[in-house]
Amino acid sequence: MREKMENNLMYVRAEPSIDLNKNTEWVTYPGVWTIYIFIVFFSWLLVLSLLGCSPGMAWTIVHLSHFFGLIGSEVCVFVELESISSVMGRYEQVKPLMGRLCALSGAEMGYARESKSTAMLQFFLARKKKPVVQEHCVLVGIVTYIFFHWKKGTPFADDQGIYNGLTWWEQIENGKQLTRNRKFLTVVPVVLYLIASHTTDYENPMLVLNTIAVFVLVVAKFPHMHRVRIFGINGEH
Amino acid sequence: MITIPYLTALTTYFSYGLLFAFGQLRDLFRRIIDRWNSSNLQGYAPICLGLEDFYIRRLYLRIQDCFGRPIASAPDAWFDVVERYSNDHNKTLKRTDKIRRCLNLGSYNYLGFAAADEYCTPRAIESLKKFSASTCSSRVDGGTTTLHAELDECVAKFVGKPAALVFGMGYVTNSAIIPVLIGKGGLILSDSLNHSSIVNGARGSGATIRVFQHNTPSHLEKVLREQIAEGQPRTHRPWKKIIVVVEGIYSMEGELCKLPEIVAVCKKYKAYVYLDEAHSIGAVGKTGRGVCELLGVDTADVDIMMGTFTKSFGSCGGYIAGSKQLIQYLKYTCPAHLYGTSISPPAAQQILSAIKVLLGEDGSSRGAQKLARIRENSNFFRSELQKMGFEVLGDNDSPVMPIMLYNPSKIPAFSRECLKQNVAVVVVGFPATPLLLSRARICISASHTREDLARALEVISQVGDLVGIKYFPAAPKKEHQEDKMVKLD
Repeated sequence: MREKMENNLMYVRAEPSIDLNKNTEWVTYPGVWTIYIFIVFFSWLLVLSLLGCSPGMAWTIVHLSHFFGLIGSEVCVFVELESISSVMGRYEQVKPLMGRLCALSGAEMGYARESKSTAMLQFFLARKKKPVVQEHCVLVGIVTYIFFHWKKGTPFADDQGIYNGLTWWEQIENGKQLTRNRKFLTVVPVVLYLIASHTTDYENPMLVLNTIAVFVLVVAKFPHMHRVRIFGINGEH
Repeated sequence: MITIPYLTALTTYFSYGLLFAFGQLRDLFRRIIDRWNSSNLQGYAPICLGLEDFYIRRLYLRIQDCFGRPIASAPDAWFDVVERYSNDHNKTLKRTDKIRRCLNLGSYNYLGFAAADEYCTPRAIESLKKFSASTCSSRVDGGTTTLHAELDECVAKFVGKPAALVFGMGYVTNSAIIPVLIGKGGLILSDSLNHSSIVNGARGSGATIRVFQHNTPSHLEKVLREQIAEGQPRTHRPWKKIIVVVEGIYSMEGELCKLPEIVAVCKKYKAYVYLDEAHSIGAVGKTGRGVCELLGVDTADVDIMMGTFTKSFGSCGGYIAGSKQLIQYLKYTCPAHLYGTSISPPAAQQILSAIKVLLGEDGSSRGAQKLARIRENSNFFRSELQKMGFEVLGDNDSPVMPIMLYNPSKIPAFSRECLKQNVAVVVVGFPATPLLLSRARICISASHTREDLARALEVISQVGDLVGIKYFPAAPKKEHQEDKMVKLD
């Protein structure tokens, strides 16, 4: 009877993988792609329900966040604070706070990102006269950019820091390029871009941002970009 | 091969994603709040770099009360667990004075020597009085007593090799021996699920390490052929030495090693075999001599046999058994022998007495009874759990049986619910196991009686229903039909 149940499609086999890196060996198990798509969809619903913006806006937000992964999750805070403040009309009070956060996170990362981040922030703020914000794209984009291409190392100390110089993207499948998993993960931002630009009817500010976002994300996943750090950003200390 | 329901895999990924997201969010707020209170440690390097301690702080500490529970008695079939409470959501735990008498399903007490034994304990106390608690020296200086010499011979005879060497600690046996046996220019082929002591020893040796798929002799052969053909990295010279490291019973899976096939592959390609019998020595085999006896492999084919005394003999320490030349070489070079303190005399006496009991040399048949009982207990428990619908790993005859939990939230749920009903289990999650495959590991002992096992089965069944881990359909019960037939009379 157990064999009959196993032949049923609802059961899958989990073969132990040879990858020694506990941080990434789970990508070869069944169900990873499905859950990734599901989480993207779930975050879209979350953004839609929390902010009440149009579906197109929500997709743009989901997609954009792939790009705006500037300085870690601080940007999430920026966007949220900014949106809340613009909605509630207390713009001026929040601005210095966000300026300070920019400076703090810039200092924390140890690079001269401060100017770039404040410039981005000005641009963002200048554009936002309407209360609706495209959070969804921003959220998903921030999340995937940070966790795939920014954060380095593993979340536990057992491996004695062997992978401390590698981002998660560079760690999966031991650095082997152009595997099925990598191809799938490269296609997802492109699909998101298509959905986002279609549902916003290719309107101008969103279209530019979406295009930049998909460009950055797809280029970051090229095999040629393995272990490349442009201008030493996010390089070794 | 582990079979997961697809929906369970998806929900497990989602749970980990949620835990990870909340952990990151809390870290973010912690960073913001810490900026407000400036610290006076400018210019010092951080203790933990980046994400290194994320898992400990945000995932492990939340369920810390399920791990590291202090006990207040010997780890016999029933033991006393000290209760703890926490005022700050498990960040710190404080002990109380209350204890709970629980059924012990977590200790590696395969033959029941963990508690006071009528033959072993008086002799251990006698040797404590004669030789004192520690030799206070390494083996080469002044730490070899008559007990140590006798123990070396006894272990060699028990395992079936010409000579053996005993060390004070099991973990150190692996991590100090492997660097001595092989160095740069050698190749170590290790099973993907080997214990961290082997991984440490292999990394410390400087040899090239390649991993082959768990318990798959065909993949081992493929990797061996590839590596022999390529030779050393960059110079492509032939390898100086090739050692294949496998374990007898894998403690997280409960599986036996496919030793005959692996030994055949190694013989074909002239590689050495290193067998780590930490969990299998004393617990499997007709007379308790381990995996070689159980699977019918000649001990002369396995070049280096290693084991520990912690699991079946109720003591501590590890041994290496091999040819006389190998042991002589180790005596000159191994740092654990030259510099580490030798095994404590009462522990050595406990091992000697335990081996005597096992072989029947104490004049009774308790050894054979223990071996038979552990085999029966393991097979009974495993088949009952499988009938109830749990997913249980491990081969028949293996006293280690992991019950699959998968979802990270079921780890503390299972552990706490079982503790409420006075059954103590050990649960393991990521990163000791793969991400999806967290489990509760049950270790059966020869000192568990049928009533103990029945109580354990009842509790596990109830908790399993509550927590929802019966992933397979239960086998239909046959007793009801027989009852009906009696009533019709």
